[in-house]
Amino acid sequence: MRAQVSQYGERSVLIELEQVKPVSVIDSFRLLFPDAEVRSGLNTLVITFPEISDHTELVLSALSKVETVESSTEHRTFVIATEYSGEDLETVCQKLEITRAKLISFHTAITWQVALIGFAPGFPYLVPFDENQEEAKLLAQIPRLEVPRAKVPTGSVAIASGMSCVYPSSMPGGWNLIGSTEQVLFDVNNHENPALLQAGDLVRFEELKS
Amino acid sequence: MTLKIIQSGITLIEDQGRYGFREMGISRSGAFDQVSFRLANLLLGTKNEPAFEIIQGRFELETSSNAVVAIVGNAKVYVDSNIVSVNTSFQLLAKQRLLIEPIDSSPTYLVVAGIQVTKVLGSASRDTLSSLGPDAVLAGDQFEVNPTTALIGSFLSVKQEYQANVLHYIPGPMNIDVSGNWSKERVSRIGVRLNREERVESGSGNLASFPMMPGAIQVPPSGQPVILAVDSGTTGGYTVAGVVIEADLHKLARLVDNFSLEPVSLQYANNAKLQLEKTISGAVINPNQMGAW
Repeated sequence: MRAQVSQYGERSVLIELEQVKPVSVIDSFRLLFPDAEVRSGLNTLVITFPEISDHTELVLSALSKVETVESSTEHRTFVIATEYSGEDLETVCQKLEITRAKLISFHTAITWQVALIGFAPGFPYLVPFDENQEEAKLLAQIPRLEVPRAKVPTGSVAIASGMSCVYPSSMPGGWNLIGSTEQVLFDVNNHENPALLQAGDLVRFEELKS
Repeated sequence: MTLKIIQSGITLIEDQGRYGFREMGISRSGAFDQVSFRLANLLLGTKNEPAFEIIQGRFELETSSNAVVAIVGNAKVYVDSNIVSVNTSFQLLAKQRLLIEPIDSSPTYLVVAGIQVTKVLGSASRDTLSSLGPDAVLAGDQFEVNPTTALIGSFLSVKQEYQANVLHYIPGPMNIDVSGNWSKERVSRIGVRLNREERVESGSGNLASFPMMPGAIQVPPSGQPVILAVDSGTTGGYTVAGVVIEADLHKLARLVDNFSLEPVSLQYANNAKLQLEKTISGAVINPNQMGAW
């Protein structure tokens, strides 16, 4: 596997992956380094080791042993019932010159994958499992909002820069709101698993007719 | 027994932090100055009792029965208007008023043995970015304190330095030179914004998000770096020019207005950490007096 490996602080290594998704190799890295913390970025992995040292050689030599998970059947799948009534739905349709029904069919046709949970507790960055899918290429034309909203309501379903997300709580945000869901994504009282989703999970949206 | 806050200043409740949830987007949070926090616990013979992190202003409380407290920081401390030594553990009698006044911008830690604070995901820490954990402390708040045993009469054998003027860092992963003198423009538990006349090379603000950590020196397109602190987000898309060594992370809470960033080797980071742990483990002297009530 090809990757750029660099030291990141005193105990971590940043791996910039080429041609493979972080979520397809994260489990393999965890098996190789059971005492380390392995976290995913959009096209990176960060491995934090218990002790201070230059770990770049160790990681570089491990790259040949890394196994890739390519099949979708090896991931958990979640279906998120969504009411497509977001504030930006119309603007997005206008920009893409498509109907509301078409936009919904695109968003629900894509199998999304959690690339990482970041930005806020339980916030999933969803990327198309197959980025060459026609529907995914089309939605990728929509950038982030020029002026972010000060407050996005909990459960908002949104798209930006080829990705989709669900806001687990109310917070500022710069993605285009296309719908909303009742699905709880983050629950602090669930001590074992406060976040519903984890990196690697697959997500499909299903239209909930109001 | 009940503890009542008379004056709060700007005060949060913090402990070691929230470990094991970074991949769910949850920061470690915890005491901004982990060294002072740990010393306050060591004075009591405890490990991770939640502390009041007094950031600014006057903080005053009283308890309905006798309590054992430890205070570490650069502050003036009074019991019923009488000045008492900071960096010690002592018994506070029922209805006595304990007043703490920080001297500079470094936080002061007060631990009350047996204090009851509701934990969220294993920690009593307030995460100011994600609004997790107990709300900021306000005058009139009350806390339950359970009977427990704790050390009375402990003190610190080593004088703490609360004026940090150097932060050491490991350069990389991206290649921008941020070494040299800086002024702190703004300090919060989320990050420290730096400033100076001479700008460094512009970083990128639009990298694909990647995992962040406290101490990471981000360089946004403005060329004005931000050093991430305890409540910073778990991921980010700015260039990272270096990461402050872990032995210096507590100094983010003790920074003077003008300080310098110095690149160091991994060997230096390792020695600094060993030295710090040695200092902490030998810092508390206690005459083995147990306080029970």
